[in-house]
Amino acid sequence: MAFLTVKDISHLYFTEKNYTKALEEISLDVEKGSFVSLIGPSGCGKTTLLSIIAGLIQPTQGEVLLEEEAISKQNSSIGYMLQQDYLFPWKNIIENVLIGPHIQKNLTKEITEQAERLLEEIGIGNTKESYPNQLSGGMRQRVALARTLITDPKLLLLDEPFSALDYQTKLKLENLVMEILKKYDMTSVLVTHDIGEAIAMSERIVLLQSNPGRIAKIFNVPKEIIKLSPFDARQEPSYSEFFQTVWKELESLE
Amino acid sequence: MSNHEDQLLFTKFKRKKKKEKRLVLSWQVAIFVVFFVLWETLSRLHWIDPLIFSSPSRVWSLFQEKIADGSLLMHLQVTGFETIAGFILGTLLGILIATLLWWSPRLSKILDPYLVVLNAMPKVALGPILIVALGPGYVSIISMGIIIAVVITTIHIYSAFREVDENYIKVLRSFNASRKQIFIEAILPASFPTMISTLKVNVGLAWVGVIVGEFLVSERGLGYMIVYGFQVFDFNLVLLSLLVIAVFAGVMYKVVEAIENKLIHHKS
Repeated sequence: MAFLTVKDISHLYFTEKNYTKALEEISLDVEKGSFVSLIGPSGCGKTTLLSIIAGLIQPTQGEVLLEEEAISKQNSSIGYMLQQDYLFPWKNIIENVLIGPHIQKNLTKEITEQAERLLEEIGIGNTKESYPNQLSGGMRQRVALARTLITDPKLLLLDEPFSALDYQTKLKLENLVMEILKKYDMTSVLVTHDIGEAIAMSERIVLLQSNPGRIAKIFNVPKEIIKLSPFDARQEPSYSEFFQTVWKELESLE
Repeated sequence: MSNHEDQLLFTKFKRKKKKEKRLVLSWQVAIFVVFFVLWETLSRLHWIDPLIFSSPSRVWSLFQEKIADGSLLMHLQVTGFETIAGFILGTLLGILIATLLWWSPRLSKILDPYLVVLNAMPKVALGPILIVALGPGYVSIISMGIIIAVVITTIHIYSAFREVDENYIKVLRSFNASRKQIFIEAILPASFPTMISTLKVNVGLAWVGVIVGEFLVSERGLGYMIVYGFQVFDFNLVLLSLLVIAVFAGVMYKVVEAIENKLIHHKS
């Protein structure tokens, strides 16, 4: 049995006059410690699927299992990183990082020290007393990463977390995130519309098609690319070749 | 550029800012002075009827007289207490009702038309009923202040609650936050700026409610002074009460502003 199992998920959105089928019979297995990306044209239900995996939306049909237990019954948290950082502007950085333990009434001295070490590790140790509006976009997204990691989630869900950043910051942050993920042996699912990012970061790429959202194809990223950091992966000769393959598939869907 | 030159530019900038501030202040003072001088002059020259419009000097001498016999202070105390009570209770009640509406979306759907109607209704018209029901005392006057402030507070704050970005809630829910925790950690602090602006509106509304209440009860307070002045045709008294109200409404407004600066420190 896989670490994360998505089983026959279908989801409908209802409005007063109409309904739309966002997802249809999605099934997917993710192994422990692996990294999977979801890509596809806009409106293919990527974010809906991620929200369902996170247990934030109840699917119309099907179930999500994490270590063979329904996601809705999990009491440990799922790490969820959004497109923007959504740091609370009235809390300082360390308070923002500690919001998870605070919510879970688990705010101990060790956790606080761990949060400080984590901020140190991702290169923003001197900002803990600052407020979010004093930080740049890249730094804020680092804080959001620390906030997600501090609760020690079993599963990390990334909803286009780098798309609002400039290119240079994005590359740096991709490398940082991969380093951290490898170090803590985390299982992750990334939603993105950036093929390059999906190739550079993940081991498998799930291509979704729209109306209704269905799995069109699953790619295995070449081994030599997986080994490299996201930045170096982009320099690898087989990268552009693989990029073309994925690109053509994606084009044929639109 | 050298450090010294930078410093010089900074000093220049500060001087310019200061100058602008001084200019605004001197205009404000000038308008104030011109208004009172004009009022006094026109009244003395009988261009406006001094019996109706009084004059600053008459109001001032009446002020000294009323301070000396202690009656102004008594009236001010009564009205001040009623207004502050009406203001605080009205605001708190409004926040409480808004919280209930946020808590139960169904309740808010059910109550929506009633809130709209209540908001549009002139609440001052309830005054006579309040006085008969609660007795002609400070309880009904404070209730008047509350009723005038509470509906608009509820509507404003509830809509602020609903406008909080869904994604903040998503972040908290990913940590398994309960509805109560979402309210305390995200909804309430995100709505502080709206609450403060509502407080500012309520300062004015509470004064309206209390003065109208005192018109009707006619026992004590600045509202009573106005009605009494009207009845005995002593417009010095009416204008004196109006000026005192203006000063104290201004003071209350400043207090709310000070609270604002204290609460919203992250605005920087």
